[in-house]
Amino acid sequence: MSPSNTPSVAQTFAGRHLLVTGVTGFVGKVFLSQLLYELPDIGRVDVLVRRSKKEGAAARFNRIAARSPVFRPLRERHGAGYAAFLSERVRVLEGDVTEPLCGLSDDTVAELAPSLDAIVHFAGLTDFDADPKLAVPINVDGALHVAELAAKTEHAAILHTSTCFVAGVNDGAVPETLTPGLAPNQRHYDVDAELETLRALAAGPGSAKDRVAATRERARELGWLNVYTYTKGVAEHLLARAPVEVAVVRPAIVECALHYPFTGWNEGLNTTGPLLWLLRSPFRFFPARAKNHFDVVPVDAVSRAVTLALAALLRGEAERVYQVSTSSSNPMRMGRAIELANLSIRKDLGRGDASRFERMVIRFLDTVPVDADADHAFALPRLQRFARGLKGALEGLPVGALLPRPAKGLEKTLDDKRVWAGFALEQAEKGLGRLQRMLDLYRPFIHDHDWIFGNQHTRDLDRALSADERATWGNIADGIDWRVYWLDILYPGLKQWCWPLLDGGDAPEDPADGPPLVLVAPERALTPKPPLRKPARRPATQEARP
Amino acid sequence: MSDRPAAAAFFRVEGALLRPTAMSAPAYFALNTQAVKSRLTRLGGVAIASGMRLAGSLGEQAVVQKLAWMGLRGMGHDRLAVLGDEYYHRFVLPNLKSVGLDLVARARKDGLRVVLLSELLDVVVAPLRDHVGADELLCNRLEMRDDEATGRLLDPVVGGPVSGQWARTFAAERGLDLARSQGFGARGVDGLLLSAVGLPCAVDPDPRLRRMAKDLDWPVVQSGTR
Repeated sequence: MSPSNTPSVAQTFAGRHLLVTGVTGFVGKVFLSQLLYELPDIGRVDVLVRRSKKEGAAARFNRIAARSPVFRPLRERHGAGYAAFLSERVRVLEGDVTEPLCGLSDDTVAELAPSLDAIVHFAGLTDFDADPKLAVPINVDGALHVAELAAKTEHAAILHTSTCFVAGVNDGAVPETLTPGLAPNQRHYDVDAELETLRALAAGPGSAKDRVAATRERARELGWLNVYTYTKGVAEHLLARAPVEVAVVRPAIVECALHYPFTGWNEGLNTTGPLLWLLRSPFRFFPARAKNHFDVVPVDAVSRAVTLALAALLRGEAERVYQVSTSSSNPMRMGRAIELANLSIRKDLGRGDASRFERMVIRFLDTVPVDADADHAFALPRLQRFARGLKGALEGLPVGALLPRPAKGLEKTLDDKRVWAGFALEQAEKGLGRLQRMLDLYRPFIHDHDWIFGNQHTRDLDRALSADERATWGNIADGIDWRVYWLDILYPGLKQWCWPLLDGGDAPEDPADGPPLVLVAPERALTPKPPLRKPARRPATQEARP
Repeated sequence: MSDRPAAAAFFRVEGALLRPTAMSAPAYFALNTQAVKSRLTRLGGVAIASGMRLAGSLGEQAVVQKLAWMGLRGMGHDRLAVLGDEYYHRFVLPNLKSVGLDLVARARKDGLRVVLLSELLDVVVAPLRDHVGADELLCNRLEMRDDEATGRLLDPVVGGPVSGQWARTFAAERGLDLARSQGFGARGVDGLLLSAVGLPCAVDPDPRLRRMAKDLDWPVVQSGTR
């Protein structure tokens, strides 16, 4: 359809009713904030928030809305009227995607049914190897519960967020397709049976470590790389067979914002943060393949793509899958990513607040990519063996017997030093072990596989926009100058927003401004708007839409 | 409006605008390559080039330039840009001569087209053009292949003596009147350029250029004496 025949994004969303899960997460927050900022004519956004141990759902959301930097643009625009603005549009529903119907009461479901246009499902557990006891209920059952809820409504569709890395071992060019029952290693499997397998793995005996190991093993049998991609992959397949309209948005590695809420914003520990943090240490030999693609997208590029895909879904024009990626349209290779990391660190450590050691040594020791299996002089297993061997040698060192008689007075001092050195070597060995485990976790993504994620569907969304709308919603990932992004946006953003967490601190928040934010339920009731698309309840089927 | 062709002021950056720096740009780049091991080998090439610069004749200076930058082979465009920016801020900006900047300002005031010539790489010296308000910058550029430097300089290599023929061709292409144009240089290699313009001037000249200026009765500007 030509741009002139298509309702604008603003027209599509005006008066619509959405339910969003996962708004306390990284991408969900940005989506909600930007939606409210750019599309204030939205009818209502119900946010499904889980009660935490410390506070109820409303208090939890209100604190985020009041303190999170993501909502800063909204707070700045509305000032004293911010609470009223939010109250008019946002309603907090206490619930939990791990429970049937997302933990909502029958009354709430009945109230949602006539007007709900779409559920935007962000909630998920993104740890690579989380305990399946947690990951399966959230990532798999959560998706099913969302589908169950949508099916109870009159016409709600689902926009499900996943990850490009559900491609698993099926690397190379990855198209925007979804075939239920086809595993990444191209083996056909029974989706229903797999759901039972996953639930059994989640309920498995033993420790979390045992459950993770068993789930990883099953994931690998099907070609998925870890618990995260396995659970997200199966969830996609289950949703594709649900009797509701579903579009899946798969982002690649989501990182610092380009524009919204402001340049550089990030949250939590994503992929690049820990890797860059590691490169800032004296660690020099990074197991990565320089030619592999490293697919990073800014969080606001994802938020934009989700909004556009959702608009297409509301209009009944959505594709099944949208990949938000750069590897096919603005590629960056792993070698360049490491080099840009080196240069970012160099630039940062050249400033005054770095220690002398960082400024004089680390700054000039650039990291180079190496083959993970090559046994070079500084390979981690070798360093571990060295530390262990040296510690063993020190332990058995008879300091007293080795000292000449005139130096016997030094025996106690030297023995103390020996004990201290043994302790330091033990710590070093443990540290190297932790480093190895961390690198093992990332290895499939930076070394073993080279994915080029196609994103034609996402780019088509951009093409359908008018020039005016493109400024707000257009695809920003393809125009990124990677050097500028890494040096001026990503590295400073990670340093400010993520590294405090790695150093054991809290995520930075904006200062409390005024009394605590409280949302008051609006007096006006939401009038259901007829859907833009024909409600199409598809029967459950094993067949994929092409 | 005058029908007369425009005139230019040619400034040789090294010497006329820029004091000798503590570290040469090729050495700085070589010392900061990604792999620690290759830093010394690359620095070796720069050392040989420096020796040749001191010992060689004027005509070999272009070869010296080529040799000096050869050590950058395999360096990516990101590192080149970052190191260039570092070098500019650490070594170029603090070493600009006030006498040279005054001469540029005067040339601009007189309506002359300001042309900078530099042996440095574009990634180092490009910001200087905006900083001094020059109209054109002619400098060395590395050949790049797959975003990596091949180690070869693209023609024309700035480094040897700039010939009078070059100046005439340059002026003809841009409709410049060389007879009314000015030239500012500091080293012997700049002699031919200065000979080609109507108004040559030696700025803090080296002994070779100082002799030439004396023989040809060119004005000499000395830092701190104006």
